[in-house]
Amino acid sequence: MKRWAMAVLGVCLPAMAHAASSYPVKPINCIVAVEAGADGDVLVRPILQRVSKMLGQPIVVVNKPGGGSSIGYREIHAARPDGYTIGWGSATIITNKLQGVSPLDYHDFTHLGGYATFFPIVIAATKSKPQFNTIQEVIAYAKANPGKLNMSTAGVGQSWWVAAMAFIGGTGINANSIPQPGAGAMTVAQVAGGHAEVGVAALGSAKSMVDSGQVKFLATLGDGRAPAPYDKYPTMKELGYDVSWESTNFIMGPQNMPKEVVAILAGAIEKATKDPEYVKFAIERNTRWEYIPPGDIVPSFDKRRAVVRDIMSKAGILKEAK
Amino acid sequence: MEGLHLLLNGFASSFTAVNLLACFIGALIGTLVGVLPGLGPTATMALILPFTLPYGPTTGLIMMTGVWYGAMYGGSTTSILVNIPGEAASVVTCFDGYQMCRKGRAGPALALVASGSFIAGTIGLLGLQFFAPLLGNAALSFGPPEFLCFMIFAFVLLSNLSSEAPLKGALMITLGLFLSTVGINPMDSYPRFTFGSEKLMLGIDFLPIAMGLFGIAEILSIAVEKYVKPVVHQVRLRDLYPNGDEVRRSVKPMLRGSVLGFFVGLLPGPCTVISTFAAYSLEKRLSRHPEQFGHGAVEGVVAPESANNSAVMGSMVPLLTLGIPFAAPSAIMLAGLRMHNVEPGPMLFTTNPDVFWTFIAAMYVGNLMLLVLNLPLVGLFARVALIRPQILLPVISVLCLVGVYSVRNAMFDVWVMVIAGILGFFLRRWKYPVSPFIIGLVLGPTTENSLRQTLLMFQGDVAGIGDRPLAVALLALAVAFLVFRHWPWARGKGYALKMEEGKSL
Amino acid sequence: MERRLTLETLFEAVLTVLGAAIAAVSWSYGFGTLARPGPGLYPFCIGVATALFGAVALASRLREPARREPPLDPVARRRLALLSGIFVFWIVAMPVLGYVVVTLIAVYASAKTLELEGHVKPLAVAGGTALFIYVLFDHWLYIDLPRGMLAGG
Repeated sequence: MKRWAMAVLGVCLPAMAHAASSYPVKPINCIVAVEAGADGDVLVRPILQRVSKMLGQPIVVVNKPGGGSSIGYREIHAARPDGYTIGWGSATIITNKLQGVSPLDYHDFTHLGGYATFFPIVIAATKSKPQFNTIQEVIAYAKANPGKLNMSTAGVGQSWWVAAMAFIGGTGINANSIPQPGAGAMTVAQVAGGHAEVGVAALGSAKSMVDSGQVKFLATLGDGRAPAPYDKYPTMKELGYDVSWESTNFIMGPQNMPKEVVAILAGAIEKATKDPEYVKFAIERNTRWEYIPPGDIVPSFDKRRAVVRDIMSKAGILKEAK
Repeated sequence: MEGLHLLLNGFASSFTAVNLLACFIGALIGTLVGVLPGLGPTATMALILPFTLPYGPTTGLIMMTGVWYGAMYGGSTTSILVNIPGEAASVVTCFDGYQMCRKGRAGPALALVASGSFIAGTIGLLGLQFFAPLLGNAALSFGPPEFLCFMIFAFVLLSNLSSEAPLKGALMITLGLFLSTVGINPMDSYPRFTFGSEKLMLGIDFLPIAMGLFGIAEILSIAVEKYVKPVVHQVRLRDLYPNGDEVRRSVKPMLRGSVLGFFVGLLPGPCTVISTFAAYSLEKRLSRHPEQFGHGAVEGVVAPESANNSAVMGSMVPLLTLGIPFAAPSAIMLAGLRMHNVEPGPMLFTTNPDVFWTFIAAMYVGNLMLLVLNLPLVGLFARVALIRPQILLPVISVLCLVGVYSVRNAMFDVWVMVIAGILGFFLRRWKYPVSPFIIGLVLGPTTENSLRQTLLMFQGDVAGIGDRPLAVALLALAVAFLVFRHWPWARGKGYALKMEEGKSL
Repeated sequence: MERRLTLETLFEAVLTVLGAAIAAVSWSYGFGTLARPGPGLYPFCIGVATALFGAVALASRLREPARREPPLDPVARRRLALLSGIFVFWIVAMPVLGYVVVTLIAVYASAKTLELEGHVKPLAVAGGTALFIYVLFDHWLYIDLPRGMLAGG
């Protein structure tokens, strides 16, 4: 009996030690808390692909949208911290907790690196009854007709929904926000079809509609103007409104991941992000490329959180006591 | 004509070894995935996406469409043979397909389904090729009120699937609608009926329930019957392929299913599933023998299966012409295209027209490849149905268990399937129709979201719908169907009597 | 005198109560206004409808003469219970024993429940199934099937 037990141990122990020292030995799952094809999803896949090549194991993307990404985040948080489950994150990691949608925020995860920042834009319909050519017209109309402006937004809790709320709060208008499930595709569709007069979505989602003239690009909610050829559209800040919203995308894992695994992953992610081909891709997708090392993420998000709290409380969607 | 010229160009470039191989591999994988209970096209497409990246956007698109398309082909196989829907869009095929199998007509069913899928794919491609931009714009004109009216219309249309016991059917619909609300609602991120359980927050997935209600319930039903060894007769070649009567009866349903499926595919949400229900319901209404439905009516098998194949093509329309993915598999394709910096949408025809045309050409070829691949396999698959239940059932049961787990890596889904299975067993005994439940579950989320969005748009003043011609037209259609049902003076008294006697599911 | 309380009647009663429960819980979610509908409105209506239909079904059943299906015979009942039990076992034992062992046991047990003769055939079928699942799901598709505590999880 004892010999049998020893034999079993003799097989298991080296196997377990082996697993730890030569990470990764099996495929890695990356939980992306937004639907496939959305901007966040499209930006993270090339990084994962490069990392996967570097590590020699496939990285499988599992999309788990819903609840303003809180469902996906919960899953990442609950996963085993063995390095075989990692996840994508965006600004919602800050807003989820502030909105009362989830008790988790960026402090509850191990960070592996940030790579790009998105900013949303305001688009206007060309088929709706009241049509707008500039953002000032929109604001004027909304102020004159409170509650009548139909604004299509992303799903409640989603990054772009918070942005839309920030827009409404920052400009002081009373608009009728109509959430569409998802992170942007349906929002753009509704505006293009004329069912809503304006909408807030990411530039990547709206690009084809803007280029073909089906919707009008009115303004951007970023700190700086959008890259060419969209740099002729103003930012809200330029127009005098204290409205800006950005979402930094990053990769993270559950708490307490082993240090060696974190080092391997973070190193690979850094190399992947700094690949000039990827930089080109990120800019082509209308994002601001910036690499944030894992150690810097929490402090920079802390700063961002203060700003975000302010925006959300002005917009009336802050539900957190802290 | 320019279109033809471009299409010929498309054929030329699609005839590269890479593209044709991609189509074949995709279709093969898709068919296998469709046959396997549980694993669906979306997950598979997500898995192979990274592998397609080195080959360019068109090849990737071709391969992934091949997978989706192949899954529609393969999903019906297990539906017919063992009453287990290979994936969500094959649920309806279970109704009559399995009955055909029990009557020994499994081979004909499989063959007709393969042919129907081919015809549907071709019709869908023709629609995509000639009408894509036009239809894309039409799809845009669907706003929340139009969706709401369409849902109302869908409920009315599909109500004939429970005509026998309307009260039981109504109960089933409300149950389905209720289950669809469990989870976090996208409109306000508010968790409902989750009672703090993280598992429930994800919502109750449709596939485990379908597999349980049909597959597991059937397994249990067969298990409790005494096994009667059938008279072993040689499987004649004649039995493997449809007879003249079956072929004749299938032609029109195939065509109708294809056209209907294509249009349903234009809409967001689970379009392939809805297309199968719509096609089935339509055939039942148009049939002179509606009482046969549910007992092996061949129309009820080929129409849904054709519909789901052309729905795939229909779903490509908003993807390619608007850049808007209305269904989960389309979203994966969108991700793939965007990774190559090909932005589908109105500009696709200006910036990357070759993507569109090469894709269409390759799909025509792929469609043919699938037919050639599947028809000979009919014989092989039909023999599976002859395996003794003592061997077949245990294997299938475990495959279901593993298959359903593999979709979301969630034991919760397996629990759902087993519980649904046991419940389904009893529902059958008590003659509760199952399809209304599925309809409620599938249509529930869209219905609620459209309702709330419409109310938001009009600030509670529902009369605003009157200003929107498309919505009004859909409502009128719904009313027309209701009238038609209860006063079938258009079809004569005999029809009404038949409807009364007609057994339903 | 036939008993009116069958499993089916119980089911309808459960549904009625469930409908009422749904309505009650939905109430607590808030209805909002017609202009800004809240999360509770829709499920409330569903709950009310379910309770209503359930009550009507229950009432009509209690009124009409009992028309029962012949009950399941003991063999059938035993098989039903056994198979259900095997499925539950598969789910519950999986994290502990790993999918290979559990699959082997489950297939063997189901085959015997269905009265497959002998021991060799059930074992062969069980082995074949387990092997197939391993190759397809584990090896090819990278599905993370639980391996049980013995193999490190």
